[in-house]
Amino acid sequence: MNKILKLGVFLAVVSAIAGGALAFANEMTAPVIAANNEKTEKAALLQMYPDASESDFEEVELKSESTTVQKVYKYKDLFIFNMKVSGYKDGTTFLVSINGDDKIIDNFLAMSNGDTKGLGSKVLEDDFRNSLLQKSSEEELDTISGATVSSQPVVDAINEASTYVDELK
Amino acid sequence: MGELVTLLVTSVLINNVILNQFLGMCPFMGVSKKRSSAIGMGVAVMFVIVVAAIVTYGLYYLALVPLGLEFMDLITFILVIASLVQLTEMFIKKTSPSLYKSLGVYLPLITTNCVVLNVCLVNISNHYDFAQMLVYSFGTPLGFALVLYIFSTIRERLDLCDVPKSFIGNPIALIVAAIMSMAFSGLAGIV
Amino acid sequence: MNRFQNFKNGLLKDNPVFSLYLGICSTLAITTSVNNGLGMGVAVICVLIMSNVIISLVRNITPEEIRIPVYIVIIATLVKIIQMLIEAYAPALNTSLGVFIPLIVVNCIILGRAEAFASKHGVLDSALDGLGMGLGYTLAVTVMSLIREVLSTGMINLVNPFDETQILLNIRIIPDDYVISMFSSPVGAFVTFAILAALVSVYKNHADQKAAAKEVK
Repeated sequence: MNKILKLGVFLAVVSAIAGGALAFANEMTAPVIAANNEKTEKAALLQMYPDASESDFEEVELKSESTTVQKVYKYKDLFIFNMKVSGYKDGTTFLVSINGDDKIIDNFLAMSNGDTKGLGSKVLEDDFRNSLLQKSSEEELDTISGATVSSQPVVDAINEASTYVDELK
Repeated sequence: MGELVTLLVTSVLINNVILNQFLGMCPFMGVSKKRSSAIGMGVAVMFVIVVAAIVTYGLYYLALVPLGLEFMDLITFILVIASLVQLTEMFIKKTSPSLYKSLGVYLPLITTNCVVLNVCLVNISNHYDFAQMLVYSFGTPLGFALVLYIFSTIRERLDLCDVPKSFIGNPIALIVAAIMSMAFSGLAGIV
Repeated sequence: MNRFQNFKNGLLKDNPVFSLYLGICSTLAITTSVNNGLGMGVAVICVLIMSNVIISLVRNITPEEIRIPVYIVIIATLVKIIQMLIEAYAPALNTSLGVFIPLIVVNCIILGRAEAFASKHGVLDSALDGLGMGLGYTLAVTVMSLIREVLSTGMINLVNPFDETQILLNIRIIPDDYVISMFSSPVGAFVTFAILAALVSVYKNHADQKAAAKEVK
């Protein structure tokens, strides 16, 4: 019994030292990572609306709980949702802008997709994007046949975003 | 429900963990020489993955997230997996000494089996809910066991063939894996 | 064994990937481009040397029964730190290597060398062993990604991992019409690996034959 206690204590001490080292590294790197993400996001926003300037996008807070919405921005009368959904492997991260009045999808930009090349990554292509533009975000949107595992979560998330528009207005 | 079935088919066949994601290669090369050890390994891995997935999922959302310790995920998961494998090893040793002998050193190596850690990590990064997590954690090792078994049957035949000297053993097995991967990739796009 | 002999062996004769068949998962998955291969190789070298050194330092105070869990905790901590550093300072590499960065924890090479070498040798020997094996791995991965990238895209495209806009090298070797895109898929990975493994096998057989012939004399 004594032996097991000694072993347990040793492992606990090692884990504690490890935890401390990790906490330290986390302190150092977390701010850098957050800054990087913000930079990518700002660049994506400007890619969506090249005429705008960075300060035109105002970040708003979503009170409802959502596992897919990462951030929401307000731009003119549009609400831009930064969403991350699952897929095959890494899933898709995208921006979708929905008009606050008529809930029409104004713009869509897929930022990254780590799924199977040629299939899941079709969510990154223009065909999928064009099929979404100017459609109502509340109605059932088309998925990509043969790539539903990647595209279904995206259209589901857009429908989910449309339900948040009312509370944000 | 349909979504869960799709997830199952995807994780077993289309996004097969060995032939598509390249995980679990060490046991794939090492334990696939005989059918009996392939089945034993497949079942053992399935048990470890399902239990480990549930435990790590619970630990992550009930302990790590509330405490803001997400960066401890790697250490916690691997410790859970290591202890689970240790327990499984003791269990198999008691209940089936012959299986224990045939699995040999590959049983403790389940700890370093990429598939186990990957399933635990993906459950978190894909934001799966409990049902999805269960389906994925069951489907992935099922795909692993399936491919392992098929591969072992081919390898048993291959031992009796006339293989060029430099290809004997692992190189020819890899060529077989290439052909299998080609076959499985034909399934992509049915879902 | 002479420590430099051990170091040399890690590069070709006992190459961890093509000879010992360790760390195959990551080799097959990330070798789609030389950028990824080099990035992963460097990460593995760092983890391997540091884990070998730390484990060698604690080898005398670690109780025998729990040495594997202790090694795993040490390796997992190092990998997590590397992952955080890559995510912060080389985000493009983070996206392309994806889940294979945390999977370095279960890369058989690292635990394998810790168990087989670092737990029984001094710090300097272990560090050199880590460097040798790490270089062997990087060599294997770079060769494989070179072949796969050239055959599947016809170009070699090297980008500075810390600043993706800075292109270091961009040369076209095969015209676009003649590329074999199969090599960027899993099939190509297996085939390339099989052929390279067979080549190393030929080299090993040859070297063994020479050594046997020498002994007879």
